[in-house]
Amino acid sequence: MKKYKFVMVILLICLQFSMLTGCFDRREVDDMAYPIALGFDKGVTNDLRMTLQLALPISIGGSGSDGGGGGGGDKSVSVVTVDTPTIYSGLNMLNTFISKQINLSHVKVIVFSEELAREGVTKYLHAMIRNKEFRPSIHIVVSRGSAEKFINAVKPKLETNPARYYEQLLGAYRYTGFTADSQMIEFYHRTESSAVQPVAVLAGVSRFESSDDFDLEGSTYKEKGRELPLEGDFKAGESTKTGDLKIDIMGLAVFNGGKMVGELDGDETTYHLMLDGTFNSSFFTMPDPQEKDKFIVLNIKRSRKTEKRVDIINDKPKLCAKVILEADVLSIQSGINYESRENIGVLEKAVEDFFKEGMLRYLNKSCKQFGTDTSGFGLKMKGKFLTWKEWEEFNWLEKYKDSTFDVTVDVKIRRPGLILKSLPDV
Amino acid sequence: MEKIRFGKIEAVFMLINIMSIQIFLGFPRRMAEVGGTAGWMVPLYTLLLSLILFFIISKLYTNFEGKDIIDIAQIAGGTFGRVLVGLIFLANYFFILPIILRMFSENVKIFALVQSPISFVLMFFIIGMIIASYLGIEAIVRIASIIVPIVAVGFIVVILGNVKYFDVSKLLPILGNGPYEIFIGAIPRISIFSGFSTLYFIAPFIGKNKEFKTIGNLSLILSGVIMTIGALVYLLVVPYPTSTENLLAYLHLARYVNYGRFFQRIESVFVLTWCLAGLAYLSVGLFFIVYIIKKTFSLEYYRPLIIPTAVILFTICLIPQSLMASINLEGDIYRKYSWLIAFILPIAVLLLAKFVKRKKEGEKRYEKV
Repeated sequence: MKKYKFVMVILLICLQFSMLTGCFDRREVDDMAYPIALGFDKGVTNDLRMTLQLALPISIGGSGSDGGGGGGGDKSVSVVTVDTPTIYSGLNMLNTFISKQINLSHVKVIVFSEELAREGVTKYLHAMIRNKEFRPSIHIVVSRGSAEKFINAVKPKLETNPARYYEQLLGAYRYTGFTADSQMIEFYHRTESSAVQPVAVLAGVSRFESSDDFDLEGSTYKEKGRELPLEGDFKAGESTKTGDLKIDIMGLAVFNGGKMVGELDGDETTYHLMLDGTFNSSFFTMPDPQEKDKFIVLNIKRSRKTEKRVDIINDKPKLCAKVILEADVLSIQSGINYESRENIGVLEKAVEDFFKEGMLRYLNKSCKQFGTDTSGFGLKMKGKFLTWKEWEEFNWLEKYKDSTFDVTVDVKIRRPGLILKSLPDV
Repeated sequence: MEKIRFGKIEAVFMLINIMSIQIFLGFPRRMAEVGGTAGWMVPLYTLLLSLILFFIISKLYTNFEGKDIIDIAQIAGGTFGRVLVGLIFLANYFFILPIILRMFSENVKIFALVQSPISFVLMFFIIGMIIASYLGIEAIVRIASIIVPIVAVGFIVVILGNVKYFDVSKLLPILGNGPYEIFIGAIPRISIFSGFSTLYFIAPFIGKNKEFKTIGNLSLILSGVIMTIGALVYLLVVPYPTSTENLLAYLHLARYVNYGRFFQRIESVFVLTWCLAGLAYLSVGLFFIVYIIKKTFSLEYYRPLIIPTAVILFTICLIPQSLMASINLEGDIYRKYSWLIAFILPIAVLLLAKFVKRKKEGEKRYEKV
């Protein structure tokens, strides 16, 4: 009897092992097609136009992702487009003619066209959040123009692995300050928040075929009263650039809930990051305070977390921020010895004033033009209430539009690079 | 079987697993629904209430050292009392166990075994439960003491992986849905500790009253702290009201873990630890159902009941039409009213038994005189 029971237990354990293999869900990696980027436009023959950039693992593996550098990037992906009523019906359609089953677990970027983003992306986001294959770390991008065109223009040259290309491309905000981290999960949380609103990376296809075509029509420098544009005075697609890489990533799409309401150029994006507290570092060019036709270039870094506060004065919010930065000198074109003890204060003050002016301009645009709190002042305001009901009744986003600002910038120049003293030309 | 003994640690680990398993299901979401941004206060507050109730229970238990609640019901109300209390506890376990079984299976189906039929996934758990129940309480408790630390490591990894998303402003406004909702409305939420009722059945296995008291207090405090941390971490990462949307809060948190190209997609490991914890919970549940049947109806053996009971559980768990129906049954009924069975019924039984015992002792003394 005892022996019989023992055999029974062993048989049951073996039966359980066979179940662990999950034979109903057996899927081979080779049987799957892995899109790297998904693009969504307004459809022509149906509601949605969906573009998939599929990775071609044989090409990626064959050319080696680390060595050699460049050349085969355009062959490492294949692009397909369908008009479809919804995302999943589109996948169904694609599965009929792609020999492998589409698996979305390696998607790195979702591109919405500006037109679709202005209509609202919430319904698509919900569909994606509900599906386990969409990773929370996917980046949300808004394309100025068609998403299909943008995805077709993505032809990486320095990286044969397209997934890695997107990872590095969209992580560049850490050292440029011209875009932001727009991972899907944070974007989604913000679309449902009453305290802080979402932003997405702004992308586009360069409108210049060659350097002879360059013009400044798309630059925002005139709005800022500048005579010539600085590097951040552009939005995606408008940068004066040409070459093998046709795409351009610059600026942010600003949302109110799930609807896009405006755009920020690269310069404003830097100020957004500084006020949001997510700025890391970037090269920064500004006019020399003493010789306006010459430039000073600094490597700006965040020194401490941005301090934010909201005061209510006469029932209107007063947004107070203290941004603390440090800088290393990269270039002083005038040759003025700003590194000296007497002059360093002059330069620091000029940088602080320059940043302050830019931040006030950005805040003014954010409040008066967009009416969306993308810098998260509402998160501070929320703390002044005891219950959620009181907070909701306060209606922050309506009040935000009437805000006044008090911005303090503290910049300390720490290092002069490898030159300790600038000398003027003889 | 009454000669079986196990230590304090094993008992505490088993009870912690029984009570804290909810973290991997809908508990954090439910706390967000109840308390809003202050949802983390609810487990802490209900822990205090549970400790007060257990203080009363442990005081009353001093007269019944080494007896389980069925034995005490026998003293209180004779055979009728024993059967009645046994049936109430059976109803309690027959209600919650199929729900948890269904929820775990459905969640595994949603996340991992998408194409597999639900009955196939259920079998995975059912077979484990049957084997564990055949091996007996000692094996179950000792396995739980191995599983709980593994699950704890998985839990800690998920928490640490989410530290970069922590934002204290997500806990503001500090009183969330308001003091009334938290301190009055949440009183029935003591039910989150309803798994504690298992302690009344393991009393004969742990022996002395002092141990009973220590195990009760320790398991309540540790489970309460774990659940508070569980709710707090979830609310620090997922802002309200989005925090009320997620089906499996900790699966979402596991998916958020993303440190570089290597340390990401850890949810597969998380699901494994999560299933281990579920299996340990369900095994305890099945064992105690058959144990209560045996005690209630004064049967000699419990093993012949295991497979029929497992089949009944399998059948009951498929009665709710959908996962949403199971979730509603758990959240709207069990986690609101089960505290009456876990805390109030034992107090009533103990008081009655004490009264009967004293009366009988008085009669005996009177007869002697």
